[in-house]
Amino acid sequence: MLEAFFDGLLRILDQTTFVLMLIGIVLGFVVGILPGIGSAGAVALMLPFIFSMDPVQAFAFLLGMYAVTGTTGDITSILFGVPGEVVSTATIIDGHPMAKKGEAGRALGAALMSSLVGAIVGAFSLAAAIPIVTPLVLSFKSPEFFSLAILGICFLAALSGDNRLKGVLAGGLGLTLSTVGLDYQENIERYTFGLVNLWEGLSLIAASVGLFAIPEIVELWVRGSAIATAKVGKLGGVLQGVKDTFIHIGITVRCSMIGTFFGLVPGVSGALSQWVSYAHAVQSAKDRSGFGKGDVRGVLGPGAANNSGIGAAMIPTIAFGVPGSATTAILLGAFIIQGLEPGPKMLTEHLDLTFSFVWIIVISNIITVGLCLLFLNQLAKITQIRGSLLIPALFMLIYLAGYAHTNSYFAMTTTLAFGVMGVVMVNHGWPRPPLVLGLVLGPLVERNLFISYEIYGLGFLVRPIVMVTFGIALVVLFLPGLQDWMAKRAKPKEDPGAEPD
Amino acid sequence: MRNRTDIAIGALLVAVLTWAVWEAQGWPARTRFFPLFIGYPMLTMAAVHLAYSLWLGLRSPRPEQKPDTEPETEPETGPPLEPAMVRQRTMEISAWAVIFAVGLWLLGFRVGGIVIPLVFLRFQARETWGTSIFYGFVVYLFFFGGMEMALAFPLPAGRIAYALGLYSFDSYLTDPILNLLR
Repeated sequence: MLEAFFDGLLRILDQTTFVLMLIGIVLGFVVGILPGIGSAGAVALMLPFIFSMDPVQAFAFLLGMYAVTGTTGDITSILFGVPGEVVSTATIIDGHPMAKKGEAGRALGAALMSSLVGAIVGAFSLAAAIPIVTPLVLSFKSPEFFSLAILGICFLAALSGDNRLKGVLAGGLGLTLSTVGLDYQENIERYTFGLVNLWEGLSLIAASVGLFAIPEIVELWVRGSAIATAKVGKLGGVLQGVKDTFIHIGITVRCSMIGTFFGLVPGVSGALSQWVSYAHAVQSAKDRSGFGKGDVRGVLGPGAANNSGIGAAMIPTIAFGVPGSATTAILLGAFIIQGLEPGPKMLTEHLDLTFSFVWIIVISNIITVGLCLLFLNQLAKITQIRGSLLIPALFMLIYLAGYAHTNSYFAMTTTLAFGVMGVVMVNHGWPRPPLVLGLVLGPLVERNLFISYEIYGLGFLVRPIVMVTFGIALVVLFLPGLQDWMAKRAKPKEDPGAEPD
Repeated sequence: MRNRTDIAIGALLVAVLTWAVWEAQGWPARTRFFPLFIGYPMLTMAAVHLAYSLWLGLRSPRPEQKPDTEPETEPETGPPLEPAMVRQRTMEISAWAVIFAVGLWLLGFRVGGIVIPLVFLRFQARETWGTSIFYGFVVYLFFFGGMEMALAFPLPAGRIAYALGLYSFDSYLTDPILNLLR
C-alpha cells in the first residue's frame, strides 16, 4: 500500500501530468475567483479535453481544477462580499468586514493558509480511509452496489430544499434518460426515434455541460454587469494572516476535521460544513465580541473547512460510486469516460491512481496558495472582467464540449436541449445534481440490478446491507419532512410571544 | 404563476413517463426490465407531484409558495432586477444560445469562432469594434492553434463550406502555415 502511495506521487510528477495539473489549477483559479461560474459547470466544460489523456493526467487536470476553486473563491468573498463559490459564503461574515477595516491582506493570508491546512487534512483523510474502506467495499456484491447507487441519488435529492419529491423525480428522470440508446444485452433500440446518433445513448458530456453551464451563462447575462464593481485597493498584511493560521492552529485543525466529516457524508453540502465550522469558531472562542465585525478566527474556520471536504468527498465517490455533490457527480462521469468503475477496482487494481488523487489535492493547493500569495493584487483585478466578455467564450466551449465527445453536431442539440432543461429547472426549483447523477449511474444501476435479479431473484432486496442502505435512503428522504410536520403540529401549543431561538 | 408552471411541468413529466412506460411494454423482457423498474415508480411519483400541484392550485388561486432552494446555485448578490428585465434578458441570451449552435453548425468552429462572438460582442453586448475583432481572432487562434494543431483535434468546416464543396473556408490561409511548420 505504501508503494502505491508513493507511486501515486511519482505519477503526478510526470512532466505531462504536472503541466496538465498546472493548467487545471490556472482554470480552477479563474473559476474560483469569478463569481457566477461554479466548479460543477467548469469541470463539465473540461470533460471533452480528457479523452486523449490517461486516467492520472485526466484527474490531475480535473481534480487540480476542482481542488482550488474553494481556495480562490474566498478572495472575492473577502474583497467584495461576493462569494466566488457557494462554499466560500461563510468567509464573508468576518472576511469582508476585515477588508473594510483595511485588513484585506491579513484576511486573505489567513483564508489561503487555512485552506491549505484544510486541504492537507482532507487529502490525508482520504489516504487514511483507504485501508479501512477497502475490505468493506470488497465484501460488496451487485445488490449492495445497486442499493448504494439509489442511496446516492436519494442523498442528492434530499438536498432539494422543501420539495424532496422533485429531487427524487429528477434522479429518476436521469435514470430513465440513461436508458436511451441500444440495450447492451439485446441490442434493441430504446427511445431512439430511429436516430442512429442516439444509439450510443445521450452524450454525458453534452448533457452535463448543457445542464450546468447554460443556466450559468443565462445568469451571467441577466445580472448584466462586471463580475465585481468595487475597486480593489493595495493589499497588505498578508504575512500576518499566514501567522494567524498558526497562532490559532487549534481552530484551523478542528474546523478542517469538521469539513472532513461533512465531506465524508454524501449529499451534505460543503457550504453547510463552512457554516458549522464558523459556528464552532465562534463557540470555542472566549471573547466573541469581534465576530461578525472582522475577527480573523471567523475567516480561519470556514477557510479550513471548505477545502478539507474535497478530499473527504472523494472517499464515497471512489469507493462506492456515491458522489456527494454536483461536482463529484460530474467527476464520476470522468471515471466512466476513462473506462474506470468506482468501487473495488479503485482500491485494488487502480490503488496508485486513487492515491494520486491525494497528491493532486495537496500539491495543487500548495501551488495555488503560493501563487495567490505572490500575485494577490493582480488576481483581484480579474474580477473586473465584464460578464459579457465571458459569454461568447463560454458558449464556444460548451458547444465544443458537446461536439468533441461524439464528433457530431447532433451532440450540440443535446447540449442545447439540456441547457433549456437546466434553465427551467433552476428557475422552478428543480435540483439538477440528481438528474446528472441518474444519467451517470444509470448504466451501472441497470447492470447491477439485472445481475442481482438473475442471481438472487427478488431475494436481493432482503440482503442486510441492502435493507440498511434502503433504510438510510428512506430516512434521508422522509425524516426532514417528518420533523417539519411534527414541528408544525407542535407550534400552536407554544407561547406565541416567545422569542425564537 | 409559479404553481401554474409547476402544474405544466408535472403534466409534461407524467406525459413523458407514460409514453416511456408504454413504449417499453413492447420490448423483450431483458430490454424492458430496467426501464419498467424505474418507469412505474417514477410515473406514480410524477402523478403524485402533479396531483399535489393541482391541489395547491385549487386551494388558493395565488398560493404563496416558498421558493425551493437549489443547493449549488449562487446566493443572490447585488440589487434585485425587475422581473420584466429578467425575462427580456433570459429571452435574449436563450436566442443567442440557439444562434451560437446554428452558427457553428453552418460556419464550423474556426470561422464561426470569429464571426459569431464578433457579432454578439458588437451588436448585443455593445463592445467596440476593436475588442470584438480581437476577441474573435483569439477564439480563432484557440480553435486553430490549440485544438487542431496542439491537440490534433480536427474541427469541421460547417455545412455551408460542405454545400459549396469546400474543404474549409480558411484552408488557403492556414495550409501554408501548416506546411511551413511541417
